[in-house]
This record gives sequence, C-alpha cells and structure tokens, in this order.
Amino acid sequence: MKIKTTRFGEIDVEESKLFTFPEGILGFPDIHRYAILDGPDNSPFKWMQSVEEPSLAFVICDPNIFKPDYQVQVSPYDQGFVQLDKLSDGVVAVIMRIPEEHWKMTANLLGPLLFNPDKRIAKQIVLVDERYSTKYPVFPGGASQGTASAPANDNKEGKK
Amino acid sequence: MLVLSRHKDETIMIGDNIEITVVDIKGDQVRLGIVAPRDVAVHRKEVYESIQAENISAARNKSVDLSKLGGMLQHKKKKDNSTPHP
Repeated sequence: MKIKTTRFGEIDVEESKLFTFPEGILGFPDIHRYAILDGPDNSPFKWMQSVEEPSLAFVICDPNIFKPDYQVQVSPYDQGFVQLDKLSDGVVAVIMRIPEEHWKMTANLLGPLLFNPDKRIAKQIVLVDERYSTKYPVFPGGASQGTASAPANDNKEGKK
Repeated sequence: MLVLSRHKDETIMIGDNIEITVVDIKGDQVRLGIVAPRDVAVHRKEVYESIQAENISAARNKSVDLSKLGGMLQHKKKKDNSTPHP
C-alpha cells in the first residue's frame, strides 16, 4: 500500500506492517491506521507513521532495550480489545520523545502500545503503576535540565 | 455539572452498572471505590491527560536518524555492562 508522508515522501508499505488502532491513541482519537517502518541496521527504534495524516509520525522503541525490568500489566479488557488469545503473542512498544539533544530522549512508560501482530490491531494502554512515568529518561540525567548527576528515577511523583 | 452530597459509605450510580462509593474521607482527600463493567476504563484524569500531552509533544519530532539513536543505545548498553551495579 502506498502512503504519503512528509518525512519520507511517498512510500510503499507491506500490509503486514499496517496496524489499526480502533480508538486511535490519546490526543489523536481520529487517526486509526499506522504503518510501522523499521529503522536501518536492526535498530530497536522504528517509526510509527500515520496512514491518514502524512505529517504525523512517532518514534517508537522496544522498552526492554533500555529498561529490561519494564513490565506491562495488561488488563483482560485490553487483551480482548486487541484480540490476543495469548498475551505472549503480543508486542509492546513505547513512544519516544526525541528532542534536538538526543541524549535527553524520554520514553512514555505509562502509556505503552500493545500490538497484536497477527490481527494487526493495537491499542495505547494506560497503566496504573506508580513506578512509571510518561517521561522516563533513557540516559541518566537526560530528562532533567542539565543535572547530569540526577538519578534515573522514573517516578516523578516521588511517592512512597 | 451535577453536584451531589454524599457521606462516607454512600454510593452513587451512573446508569445501571457503574457504582461509585465514598470509602473514606480524610482532610481534603476522598477515597472512592468504583464498580464498573470491564469495558469501561477508569483512570485518574491527570494520568490520562499526561499521556495525551506526551503523545502530542512526541509527535513534534521533525526528522530523526534512527540508526544514530540505535547507536546511542548500544553505547549506553556497553557502558552499563562495564559498570558494576551496587
């Protein structure tokens, strides 16, 4: 399928790389279809390009690459929503925020994306987990303004 | 907005199958118990809004070289592995 994009021009995408978000993602409820574009050299980073809106694309990443202990508690409702018979068949990715200074990149660990690669349905899920924030700094000190000594603490509320 | 007064342990119903009970009141904090069907998502509003805001700012990336990002992570991994954890 050919899709128009502002970043990559017109590209041809295999059907197997097209996913439907029936509810959209938060903030973009009317955009339902995204193409997953692999990065070069097996990069864990990928583009999630809107099929409907050429200018809309997110950088997503496998969170386990930089946060091996990351765990997503998927509710039975969300599992059913993406029609996953077995949770282990699902794939989780997180949306990255990549500022100009790349080392300040953050990952949204509170609102991960759950994909069913088989049915190609996906959903952004909202975790109820105080360990995670929307701005997890991938590099210690990266998210805070220049305080290189800040610990990589992703609980910005600092509770408990 | 409909405003109702409730005492501790009293409940309001929304439709036929959503119940919200005042479980506890302490100072300016109220603990609520919520019973809702599985397909009704219940979230703290600020969590919902923070994810929404994060998505919107994440969409502002103009052009990013993914292989460069991958390289940064690999570098970090090597560094992490060479630093013993306490």
